[in-house]
Amino acid sequence: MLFNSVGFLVLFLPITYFVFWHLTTRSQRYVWLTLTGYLFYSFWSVKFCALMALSTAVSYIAGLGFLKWDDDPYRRKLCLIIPVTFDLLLLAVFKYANFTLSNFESLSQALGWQLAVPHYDIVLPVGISFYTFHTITYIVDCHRRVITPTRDVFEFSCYVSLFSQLVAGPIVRFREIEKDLEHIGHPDRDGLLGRGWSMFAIGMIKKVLIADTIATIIDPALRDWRALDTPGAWLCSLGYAYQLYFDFSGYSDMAVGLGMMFGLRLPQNFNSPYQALGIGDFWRRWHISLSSVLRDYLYIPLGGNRFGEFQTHRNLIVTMLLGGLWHGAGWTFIVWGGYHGALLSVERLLGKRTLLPAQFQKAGTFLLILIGWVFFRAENFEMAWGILGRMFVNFHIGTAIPSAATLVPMLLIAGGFSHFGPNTFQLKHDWDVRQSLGWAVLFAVCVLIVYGGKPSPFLYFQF
Amino acid sequence: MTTSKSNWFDLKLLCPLLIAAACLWDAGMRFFPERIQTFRAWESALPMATAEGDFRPLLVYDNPQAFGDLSNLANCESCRVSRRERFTTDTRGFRNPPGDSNPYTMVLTGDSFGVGSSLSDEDTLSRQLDRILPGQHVYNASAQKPQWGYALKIIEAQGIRNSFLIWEHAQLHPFPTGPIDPPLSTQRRLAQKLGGGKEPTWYPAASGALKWARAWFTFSPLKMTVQRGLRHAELHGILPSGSPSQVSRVTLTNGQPMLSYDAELEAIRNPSKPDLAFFRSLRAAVRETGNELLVVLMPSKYSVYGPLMRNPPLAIPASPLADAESALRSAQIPVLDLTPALRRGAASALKAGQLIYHADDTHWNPAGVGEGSREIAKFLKDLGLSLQSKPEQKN
Repeated sequence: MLFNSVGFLVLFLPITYFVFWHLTTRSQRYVWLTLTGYLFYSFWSVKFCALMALSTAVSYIAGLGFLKWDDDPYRRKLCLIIPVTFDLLLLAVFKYANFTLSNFESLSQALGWQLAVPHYDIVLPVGISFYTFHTITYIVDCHRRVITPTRDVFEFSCYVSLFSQLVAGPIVRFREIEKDLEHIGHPDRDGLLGRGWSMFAIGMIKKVLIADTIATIIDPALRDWRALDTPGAWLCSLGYAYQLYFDFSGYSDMAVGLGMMFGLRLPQNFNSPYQALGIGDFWRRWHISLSSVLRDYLYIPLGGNRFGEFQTHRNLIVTMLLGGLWHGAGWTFIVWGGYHGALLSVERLLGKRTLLPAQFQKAGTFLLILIGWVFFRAENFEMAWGILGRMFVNFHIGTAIPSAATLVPMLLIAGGFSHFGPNTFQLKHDWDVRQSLGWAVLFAVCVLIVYGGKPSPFLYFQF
Repeated sequence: MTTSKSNWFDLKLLCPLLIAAACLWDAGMRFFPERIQTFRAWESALPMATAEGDFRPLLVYDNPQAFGDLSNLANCESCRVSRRERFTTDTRGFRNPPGDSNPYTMVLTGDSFGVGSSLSDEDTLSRQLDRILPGQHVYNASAQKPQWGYALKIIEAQGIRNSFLIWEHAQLHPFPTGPIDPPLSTQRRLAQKLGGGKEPTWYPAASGALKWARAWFTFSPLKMTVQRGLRHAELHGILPSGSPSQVSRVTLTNGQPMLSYDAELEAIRNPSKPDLAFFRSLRAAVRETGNELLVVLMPSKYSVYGPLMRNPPLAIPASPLADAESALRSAQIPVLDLTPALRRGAASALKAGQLIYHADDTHWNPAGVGEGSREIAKFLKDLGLSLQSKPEQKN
């Protein structure tokens, strides 16, 4: 089930909302949110629910273990290793098994070995990368004593399966939502409701009106990428950069808005990333919940910047390579991650020695990010190099891509908002009548489009 | 930071109200004629199919300005050919005159060609066969795909003997495979379990209610209206075109333009092979009722008009359905390939600037059905079986 589907808007959300606010106790609300989370998830596949339940159970039990063996470092270590290994195994099997096997097969063929490598028909459970990170961060935080594990199984299952952030984040750490979960039984329904609906509506507008419109034009053009000329390649690359931003940040806004409707404040996931002054700055603004998890649970444990320059550069690159791999089991993602790791490394070497004005720094950063998105979007390296070649080397003007006349104004609007406008968290969401009516008209158009069309999945669902 | 306003212009009220308004609009539009939301009968007839057939029971759809599926798919306003379409269904949800008291003597089952998509009731194959075959009255049990189980039921219920079950098979679709008795649905299995091995008496009513509820929830007139609006916006360049249309514009040898469905080419490149075991079982089942099976192979527009196109996108074989026909014939299944007759008809009609398939639709037009029904009537007579059948009196 998608946020931008009729079933969600007219059935799931109203029922979940009204039942939630008619329940009076904390426990009832935990149970209700857990049930609705599983129901929401079951629209993809009922079988996947079992995986999520298993991951939840393992981490919950480990949490109880931390409580029981508070002074036993050996057992605490086991309570860390077992659930984290379990979650990583889930990812390894469901996300990376076939990728690993096919690479092993290619390698063995290159070495002249005749190995029969099996391939399995494994379907990637939607959202697995997100909920396994929820449970991993919970376990690690318990081990680090950053949080006290919960004894309430439904509080924990509610945290893992909360429908608003279940399938594409933000990756909410337990400590970020713990207080709101503790106070979930409060009777104040209106406290965050206005802001919640405002965030939800803006997120929907970003997704349906901007991201999906751009996608309608660039997707067919990219399918036939060999026919792109230089302006077409630039338009498609820019289009994808804005599509991805408005799609994912739109989803995150909707998730945050939905959380607020239930009195839960989810963290900000995007902070105007295309206004970044450098690559490091970009990663503090783009998919903040993931980059902070990578920083706190990978980069810093690897040593961070504590053991000299060489190790710092190594840690940066390793972290970003794994960050790329997290996005998908494919070499283009790994290269994308490695490219960002290298950029971060170079940026660190250069230090803050720049005499360029801020606008030039922003433009330069965006250009570097744009090159990275080509790898991120490409189905293979041939496509990536082909598009980059059209953009930077083989200049020629051929046939314009279909609907370019619609794409250009869309890119101007999307670019204007993302490069110069405030982000959703910077808005006050306290609209006067005219503004409210303006948003309402745009939201009504979205609702009609949702009614009329097949809901288009969010890009980050595939990760 | 948090808005504390509580008035009608607050988004926390406006947004849910807009969603509720869309729901109400959707519900309210069910009470308006379907013609407002649809461009032809098919879109109106498929939702709310609450009886056995694929169409809404007792539907009376009358649109003086219907146009073809391909012009809609291509979103081409100038390609539309406006025509009247009257589409009525019986209580079972099949395309037959409601309340027809004349006993049926023959059954036709097939797909959209058999149903008569883009044709008015009087021009459909079943009605044209009625007119050509004296004393015959054909029940049209066609749907989105042939409904052999239901056709056999009708034969039994109407007491039809010494006649035919005509099976119309369109080239575009694959032949059915597997056993002729489909496995029981989970719903029916559950009901039988509850009834101790037998189907409980309440099952038909419960199943009907379930079907009705499902139809009610899946049918959305607002969706149809919005889709039309979006296509209109795409047509006028307000919105970018959503997807490739899958429709090609071809020119006939006399310069006449025509739309053709690209998927038909794939069916010509990779023709479906009939599952002979399936057809043998079906023939045996039909013979058990005292009737005979006749398979009618319905060529696609490309197969009929390919030789008459200026630059066909593919070399259309001389007999695109010949393999299927000879396979069925070798299995002793009576079979008629309409391709030669329709090609002849198309060529002679084209000399007069006429067509036998709609220019803006996948399907044949009344003239094409006329050619087809004459050929079928001739074939039935050549088979030498009694066509003077009368239904047995059922008590």
